[in-house]
Amino acid sequence: MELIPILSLIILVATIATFILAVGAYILYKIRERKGKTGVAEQQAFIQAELVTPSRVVSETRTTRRTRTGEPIYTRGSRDEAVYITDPQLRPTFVAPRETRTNSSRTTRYTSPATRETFEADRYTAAQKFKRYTHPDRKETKLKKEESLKWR
Amino acid sequence: MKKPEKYTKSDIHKYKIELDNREVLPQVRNEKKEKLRMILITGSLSLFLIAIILFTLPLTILSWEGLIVYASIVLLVIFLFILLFRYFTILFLAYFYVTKYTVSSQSNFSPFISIIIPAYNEGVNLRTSVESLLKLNYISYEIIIVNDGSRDNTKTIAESLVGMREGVSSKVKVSLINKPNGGKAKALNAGIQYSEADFVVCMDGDSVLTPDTLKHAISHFDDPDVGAVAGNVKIANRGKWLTDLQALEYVEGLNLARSAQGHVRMVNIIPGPIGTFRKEALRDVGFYTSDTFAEDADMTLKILAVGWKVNYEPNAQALTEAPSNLMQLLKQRYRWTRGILQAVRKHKKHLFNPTLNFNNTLVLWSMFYEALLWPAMTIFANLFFIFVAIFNGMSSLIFYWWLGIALLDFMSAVYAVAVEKEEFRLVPWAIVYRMVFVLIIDVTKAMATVEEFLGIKMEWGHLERSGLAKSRK
Repeated sequence: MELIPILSLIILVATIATFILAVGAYILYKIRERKGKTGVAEQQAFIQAELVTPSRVVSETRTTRRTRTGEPIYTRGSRDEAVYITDPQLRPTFVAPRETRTNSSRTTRYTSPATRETFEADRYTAAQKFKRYTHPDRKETKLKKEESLKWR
Repeated sequence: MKKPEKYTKSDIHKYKIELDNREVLPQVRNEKKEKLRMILITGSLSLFLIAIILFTLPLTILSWEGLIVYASIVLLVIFLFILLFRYFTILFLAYFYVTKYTVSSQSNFSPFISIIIPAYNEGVNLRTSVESLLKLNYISYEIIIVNDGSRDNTKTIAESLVGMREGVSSKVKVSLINKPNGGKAKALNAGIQYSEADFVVCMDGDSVLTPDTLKHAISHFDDPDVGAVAGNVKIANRGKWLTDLQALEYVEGLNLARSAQGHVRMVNIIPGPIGTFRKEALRDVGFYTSDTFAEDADMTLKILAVGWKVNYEPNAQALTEAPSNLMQLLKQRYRWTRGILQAVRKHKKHLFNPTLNFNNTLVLWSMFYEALLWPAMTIFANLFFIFVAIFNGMSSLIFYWWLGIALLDFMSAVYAVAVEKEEFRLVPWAIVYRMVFVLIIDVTKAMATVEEFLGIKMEWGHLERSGLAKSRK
């Protein structure tokens, strides 16, 4: 007997068996699913939940130092103090989606222009203060000063 | 062996929080009106087609029987051409992507990342999953477990994992949110509400990440146009015929296609077990919504629609537990199919209007083809060959059909397995992959499609887990 008819027969039988298996399994799946049907609970706008975290939730507030009598002490900069809070504030996820992506948010976020001259401590954040002499802004101001010099 | 870290109750702090449970949902559909419109359109088109046949058939030499055979052969030839085109396009694009990927350098971009693990009855896998995250080769990240009202021991296990844990490069903060059950989308949103990072990794409670996952995935965000990165999902529990076939399917069917989509930066589904997102992109699309059963497909389509690029990272790997019996597999695929169709329907304005975003239209049509036309054609082809073998005695046709497809699958499997450095023992499964595995899946897909169009109600359901730790041994 030739090989191709035998192989054809095997494939034919296998395909028919697979079909029967697939349809049978699907029907069985639907029957099982129907048995365990439950109602869907209504969703509330806000839900109470519990946050378990290893570190205390901190919120930084800018405070002015005061004397014993309660009068404010005027210093060059006010101080950030860590305040432990009992009610953590979460970021909302119910926001209006955009139709198309815009680049404006990113540009405004990363390049906030300095509007006024302040004390050095205000101009540099904690991370930047170590870069004050290598920071690109520093080079620019230096260059501008050099350009403004004139030979007398 | 490392001593487990001990935490006293004073180290752990519990807060009562209020989660925003609202979602940005599209307008409520008028299902009756939609059904009526569908019946009218399909009915009138069918009547028009029948009228043409009745009018033109007497002008030809064909009989009714001949017409059916002729039409079937034409359909099969068209299907064969589409099939070949699909195979070779995917293979070429995947090859280009891998070549480009191999020569491109990795960046040193390493921002702070929040990893969110939504967990519903994942007590068996959660510890293994979190332990894999503590072995990540990345400098700064936190882990947020969201217990979505589990009914097993997930809460107890998750609470025992909370703390400042020892990571590879630094201490890793593990936090937990216990919330009432609301579904995966709401659980992910809860984690995002608490996350402070600009980048979030969304994964499943039954997934394990490989050590270099974060490092590789985050490097794509150096490009400001990239909104999300899809990872590479692999099957952890191999060894059974069904899980081995799924392992081959993930390598050959899903990851190869994702590589091809990655070349054009339009990955159509960021897999649930591993997806990295720019928070700005998530905000642009209104975060996750639970109005579909495939929140991952819906999220990806929304991100693409707004104009962000979605890349694929083959080295960001997640090992997941695959269904190990047929019932569980059908349950999973039934949900995937209906979920994808729901997501496609949600974005139908992009489906029919390419001027809005041509790339998105292309992606949606390809999804529509994969979810609807492909299974229908596979079933039709098999039924046709069975019919001609039984009633016309042409049984060799089914053999040649199988041989052609098996050869294509075998070739793709060899290529995909070699590229992904996978186990070569998966390759021989390619012989039965299309004729047995894909046919079973396609029957379920076709049934799910019919049910989705009829609007039959469905539930999310939950897959049975045997444990990743067990399967990794």
